Amino acid sequence: MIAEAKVGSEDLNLCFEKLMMVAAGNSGEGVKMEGMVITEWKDIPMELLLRIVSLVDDRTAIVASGVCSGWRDAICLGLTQLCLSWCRKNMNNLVLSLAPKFTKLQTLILRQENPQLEDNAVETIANFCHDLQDLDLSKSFKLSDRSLYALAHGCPNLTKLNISGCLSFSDEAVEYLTNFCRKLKILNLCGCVKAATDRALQAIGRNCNMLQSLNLGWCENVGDLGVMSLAYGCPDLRCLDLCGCVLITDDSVIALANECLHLRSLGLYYCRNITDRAMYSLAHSRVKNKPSMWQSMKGRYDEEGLRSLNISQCTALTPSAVQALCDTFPALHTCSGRHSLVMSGCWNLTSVHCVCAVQAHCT
Amino acid sequence: MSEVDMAVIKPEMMKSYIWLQTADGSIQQVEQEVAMFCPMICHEVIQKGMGSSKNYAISLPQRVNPAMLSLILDYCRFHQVPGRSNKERKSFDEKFIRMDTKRLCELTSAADSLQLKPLVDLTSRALARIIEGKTPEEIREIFHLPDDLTEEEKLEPLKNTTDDPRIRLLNRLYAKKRKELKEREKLKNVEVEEERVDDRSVDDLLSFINGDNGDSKGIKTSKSKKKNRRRKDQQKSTSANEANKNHSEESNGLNSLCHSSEVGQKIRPSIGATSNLQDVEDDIFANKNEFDDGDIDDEIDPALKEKLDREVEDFARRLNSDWPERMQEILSLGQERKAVHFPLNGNGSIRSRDDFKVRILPQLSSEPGQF
Repeated sequence: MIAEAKVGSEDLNLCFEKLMMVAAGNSGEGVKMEGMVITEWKDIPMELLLRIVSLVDDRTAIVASGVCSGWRDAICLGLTQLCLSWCRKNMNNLVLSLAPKFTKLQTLILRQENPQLEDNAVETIANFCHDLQDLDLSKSFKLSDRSLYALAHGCPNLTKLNISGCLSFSDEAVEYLTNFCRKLKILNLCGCVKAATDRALQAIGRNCNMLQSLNLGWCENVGDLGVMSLAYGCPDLRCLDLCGCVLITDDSVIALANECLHLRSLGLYYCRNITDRAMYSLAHSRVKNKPSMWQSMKGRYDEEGLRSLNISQCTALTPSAVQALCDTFPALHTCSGRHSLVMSGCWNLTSVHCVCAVQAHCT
Repeated sequence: MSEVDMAVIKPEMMKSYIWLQTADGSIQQVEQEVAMFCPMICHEVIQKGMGSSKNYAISLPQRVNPAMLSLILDYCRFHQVPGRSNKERKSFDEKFIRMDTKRLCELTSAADSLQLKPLVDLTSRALARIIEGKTPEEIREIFHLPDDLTEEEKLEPLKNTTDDPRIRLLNRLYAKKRKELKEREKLKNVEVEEERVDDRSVDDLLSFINGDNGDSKGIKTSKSKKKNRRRKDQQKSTSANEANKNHSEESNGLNSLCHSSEVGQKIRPSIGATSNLQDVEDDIFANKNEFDDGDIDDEIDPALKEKLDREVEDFARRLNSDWPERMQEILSLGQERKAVHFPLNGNGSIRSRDDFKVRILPQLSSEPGQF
């Protein structure tokens, strides 16, 4: 439009004048371009601007926060979710410059394709983003315990933390974190072999009593002591992934069965020590805790119970035990549409079927 | 005439209307079913019984001026008809939002004040599409926003990882040149000895270089070139002012080591995937670069251009190296330039007249420590 073109050239002229002023030493930092702007545009209210910014991608949102002071203030006050996983090279610098601005962030996704994030960035986040609830630092190979200590002090409201793939973290740091971040509900320690030990799990059991989901995949140092402490400390546990935790025995599962009555999803892939005892304990616990007709259904009893179970490579199990389990939990399925009972590599369990599979077969 | 008589004579007048008053005082009547499509108006009519006559016209929020009201009513008039297919509605919407950005903003604001959520969503999405992929300057231009953020407050740019280190270098040069101008002004007033060796010897060095390169035009040319370059610097700076500032900001912010390694750091990781934001940065630089070349064409004839480019590079080296090393380098400069052939950088889009620059800069990138 012609009008806009005029604005453009005015822009240039005024930029030039501004430069001359700078050169003449008139101003210090940042010259105000007074009298230049066409101010007929009545400002979009902050809520509308935030609504528009919520519709654009994260990169544009960041760019928009650097447009003018009005937009910057609105966006810095209103932006609560940010994902920087699209950064290939400069995530660390970007976090360093953005964290002080976006202090109201509640969700921050920093999952990396290639490791970029360093401790100073996480420390900056911890210094400025105290409202943070959901933080994804997965695959941050370069981070050290410093980051966890910083997060402990700076982000006590964390409810969801993903540090899978952060191989350098130690269990001491995780323990320290749990002392401060007691509101954790979802914690992903997949692959954190050094961090996920019995010591850390005991700390989690002590401190994070609201925990609902825990991923301990491929954490080979996890043992019965840790899982049992977890079971006793986190009664609200719903999802637990112990894939690859080869030290686990029946005792862990029995503790979980007795204490975590809301358990919906359990992963025991490659837990070779699991026997029928564990299966029967799960089934028995459900039967035992089913409320009588006169009792209220609310409370500790979870309507559907276990919905997903992975016992692949648990070759010690026998069909009768697993079938009993399948019968007890109506939400466990072996039928093709809703397959949730995974038994790969268990050749002797091929006869186990869920109710619907049998029905389909019969009709 | 009684109302009943009027009704008999003019049956179309039985259609009920709602009276609306905009902030400027003008009052109009609108068909009821159209107006009631807006939740705010609906609320006023039902809860407060307003809008039935001219005296009791519903006062619309300030953000709704007559022009916007007319647009909104058009929207309502179309969409309140129940029989339309989704395709029809979508097609109407797409045509409806084709207007300039300013009106779109006003419309969003007005629709929001009338709580007309579908229209707010439609216009918000349109505005979101407009903003996407634009640089801050472009956004400022489109929305007529003031450029009132200080250098520090503006977004620190990402490292430029395109294969064009020359652009980065130029930006840094211009930023430093501006600083120099500033300092020189201060010098004139205060007359304090500058600590930086570079400032004192700008003229000397240039003439030295010119003499060394066997420039037939001599000192006179160097001075005019200097003037040209300074003017060129300033004009170039205006077109991408923020980018310059960003880069001086960048060099300040990131330069915890000496300049030399900074140059190396930035130029070396030049190949590889770039993020979208880096592409944004590239856009800024691409525009600036075009401006550069146009400027050069206007100012100097091609013969002098190469020499000017050479001086720009020398200026860069001067800034980025220590004095003794630099002296050594300058002395050997003449021989080096003739002897060495360098492969081009990975960037495919190199113009012929810039070949010389590209040939020089790989030297910078391959031996960062030298500076």
